[in-house]
Amino acid sequence: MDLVFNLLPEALPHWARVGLAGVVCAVILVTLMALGPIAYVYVETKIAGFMQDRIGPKRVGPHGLLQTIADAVKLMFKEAIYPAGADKKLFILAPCLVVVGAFLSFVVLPFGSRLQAADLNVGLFYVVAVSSISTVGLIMAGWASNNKYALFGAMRSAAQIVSYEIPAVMVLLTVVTLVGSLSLQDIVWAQHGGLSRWFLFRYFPLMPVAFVIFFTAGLAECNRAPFDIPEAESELVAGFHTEYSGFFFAMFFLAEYTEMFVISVVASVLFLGGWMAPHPLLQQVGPIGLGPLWLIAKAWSLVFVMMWLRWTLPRLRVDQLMYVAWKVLLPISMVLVVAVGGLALWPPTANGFPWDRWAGWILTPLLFAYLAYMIVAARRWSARRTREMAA
Amino acid sequence: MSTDLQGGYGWRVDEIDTDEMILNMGPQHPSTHGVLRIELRTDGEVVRAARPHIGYLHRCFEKHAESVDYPGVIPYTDRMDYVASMGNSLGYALAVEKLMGIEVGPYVQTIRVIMAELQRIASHCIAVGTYGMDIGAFTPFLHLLRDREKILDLFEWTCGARLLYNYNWVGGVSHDVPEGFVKACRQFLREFDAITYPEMIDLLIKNKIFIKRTAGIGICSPELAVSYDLTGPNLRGSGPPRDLRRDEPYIGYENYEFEVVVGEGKFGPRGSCFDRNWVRALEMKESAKILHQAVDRLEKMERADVHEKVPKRVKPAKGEVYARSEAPRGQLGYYIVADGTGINPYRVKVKSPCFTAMSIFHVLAKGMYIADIIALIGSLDVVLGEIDR
Amino acid sequence: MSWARDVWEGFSTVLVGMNITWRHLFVNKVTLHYPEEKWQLPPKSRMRLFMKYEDCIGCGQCARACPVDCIYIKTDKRAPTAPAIWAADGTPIKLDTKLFDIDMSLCCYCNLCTYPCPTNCIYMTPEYEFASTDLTNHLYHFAKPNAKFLTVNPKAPAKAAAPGAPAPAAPSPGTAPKPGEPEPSKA
Repeated sequence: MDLVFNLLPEALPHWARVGLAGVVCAVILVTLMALGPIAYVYVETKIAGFMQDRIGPKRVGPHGLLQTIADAVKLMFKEAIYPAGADKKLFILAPCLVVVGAFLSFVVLPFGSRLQAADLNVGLFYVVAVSSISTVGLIMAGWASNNKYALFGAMRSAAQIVSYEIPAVMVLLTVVTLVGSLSLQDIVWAQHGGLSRWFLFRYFPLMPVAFVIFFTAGLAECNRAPFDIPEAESELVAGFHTEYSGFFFAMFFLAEYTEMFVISVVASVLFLGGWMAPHPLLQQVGPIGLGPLWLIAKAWSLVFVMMWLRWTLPRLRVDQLMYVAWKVLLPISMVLVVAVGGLALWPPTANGFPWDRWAGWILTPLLFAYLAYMIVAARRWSARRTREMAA
Repeated sequence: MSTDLQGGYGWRVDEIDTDEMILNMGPQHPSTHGVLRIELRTDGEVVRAARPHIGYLHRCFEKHAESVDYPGVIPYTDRMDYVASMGNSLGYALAVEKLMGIEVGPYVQTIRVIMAELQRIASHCIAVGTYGMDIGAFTPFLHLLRDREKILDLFEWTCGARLLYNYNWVGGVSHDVPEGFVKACRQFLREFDAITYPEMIDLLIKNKIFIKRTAGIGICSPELAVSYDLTGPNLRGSGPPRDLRRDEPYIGYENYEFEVVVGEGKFGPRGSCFDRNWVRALEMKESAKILHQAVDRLEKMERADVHEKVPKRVKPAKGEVYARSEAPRGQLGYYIVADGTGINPYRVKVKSPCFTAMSIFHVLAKGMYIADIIALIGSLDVVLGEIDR
Repeated sequence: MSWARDVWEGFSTVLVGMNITWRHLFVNKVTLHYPEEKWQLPPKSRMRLFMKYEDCIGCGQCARACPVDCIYIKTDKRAPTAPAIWAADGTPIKLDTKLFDIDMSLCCYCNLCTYPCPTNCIYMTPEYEFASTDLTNHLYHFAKPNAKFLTVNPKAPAKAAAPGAPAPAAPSPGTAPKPGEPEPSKA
């Protein structure tokens, strides 16, 4: 926001400059971020298709690119049905709250060294707090629908989100102990110096476990598979948004995908170095910083992993969900908090284990090499099969 | 008796506790494997009683069979269990052949075995695939359906139809296998053994989440299974190794080597939903084994006329017969009464394996969560066409 | 500890599953781009029925064999003065088939009607794209009022030519040899 503030003419009074800068930032953020879900829905349907040996949408627009736009237009024109006996005010307010909860987190996400709407010194705390507003919206949606199935779904969903907040926040604590500050920019700056300084590879193997826990808890926060029992289509109920149609449903959808993106960005900021490039040489191209590009690349890879998991795994039942949160993730995260905190305070390991430096530079190329090898193997198998079928 | 249909529900109003809820999984539901209506009486999330309502797909098959001639019943039998149609027509053909005393030659028997086992793999593809989809894993369903399409292509090549074949006739089969069928079948088996089966096991059956969802629910003891007349994979999942292909061999099954797959209780008590699904998945492998042997046998035989023993007019003498076979869903039995006059059967009664499997539903459903009800129906592998006929 | 084993198994089976789906992202897709690409149906495919009216002798065997009674046949005896006609395989046609309708919306595609036909005039074709918005369009009328029947027995010259026999005299049009009557060209 300082950028925009500085760009505005000095002739304006201070309060006007601040206000205008805020509004401009908000408009930019909301516009850019609202376009995201359009792309994510398309990518999700395409990925679902490709993983299932079929092509996803292909008719609407070249390669089906306009499919989401068509879906969004359809949803906008659909009749918004209000169930009989529903509490109308709450019914309309609920999706708004859910969307607001997702979008408010964008204020503190650092897209570059100066590209941040507001560098709050309690940034991380703010993100966690604000993402809980969606929970209130969810419960409101279930209650206001006057539908016992929706209420079921809303209660399950609320229980799930609240339970998974705790391991997520515990794991955030480990990162905060390493940095000493809750501000997201400080966390990114603490990881500068290349791939090996990223928190993912600190205290190897402790921090990777922390990353996995945070990612899993984040999946549960978004109601994504394998934790999507609240919105499961083949279960008894369609969850808290059973009674919503048309534009309200689109808002829930929007909120879910935006939340996915927010969790991915927070995970990238905390563990994958935020807008830092893997090597300092790749950070700038001349005077232009590539920070935002790096952050978007990392966030989008994590979003891709979320989609990958959805189409691979079955669903967990509600009580099994709770078991995982309270009896698996929580104990491990508590142990991690104590361990990482202790290691950080002990002078010999204050800057990490001695093998951390190589962990990143060995494992990352290995991972990419393995993925590339699988691609090559798949293509070769396909070519061989096509030859066999033609024979 | 709580069969009073008061207010559309199956329970009398004074029977219902005040803090229990009646939940209706209506005839239109994505996971009930057909048009099945289940009424659940739940206490929060736990089911206290369940009552299935069937009959939405009743098409008067047994009555129709009285007004068409014996070969004309076969298209009707196809449509009962529409997912595994070869098994139905095979059962009927066996019954009428037993009634008339016709013995088919080894060539026709080998072809029948090949078709029956291919159909078993295809049917289990649907069973395991849709079960995975009900649990939430969408991808294995499509992979298995892709392979079912390969089998259906083989069927289409042989007899011209993909789903309802009218293939097993009284005294033979309708079409001989085309040239190159053996090669195509081997190609399919190669891909099945190398890719489909291992991937299904890795992606679905061995997945920890899948195991957790299915291994502790729907536990059916062997005594309960036998007393409710469960057959096929539902019975073998609980332990008793009863398979009609082994115990009462027909169409030459005694010549093939295969294992009878039995639920082992690997990840939980024996007889759970996981075990029934495990039996189906491993049976696909056993069917592939039988197919390898059958295709090898077919290759060595010289072609014979598949219509050789088909009678010009099927007019059995007065009598009755009951013949049973191992359909993919269990023991399928046909009871045919011929009155000696006319070319139509006097009575055809079908013992449907899914019908008896559905009868155990209300026993196993007590005490489960609502989410598990879906898992239970899927593990019983019901096809409403066969239940309702 | 079974708890630790559960957690480890949970994690590892997820990774195995992800491996499989990653691989599937890059194999060739099996989608057929209908209607730009169409599946080549095998010739035996049982789709729409077709009946060649010029070969139909009006016996009604197909209607009798049909389990759903979707074939409607009405025949009349041909007038004695009408010219004799034959089917393509030499069977004489003695009946006038006034009405031959097949209701494809009733047909169950079982193929049972094709087997009893003595002249093989009814068969199933691989034609499947005959969807229509009007159900009455599925009632196919095969009896054509102006059909051109064969007025010469197509198989007769081959039948009358015995080895060593003199040059066979082709039967004059209109006088098919009746059973029992000695062949005119018998030596």
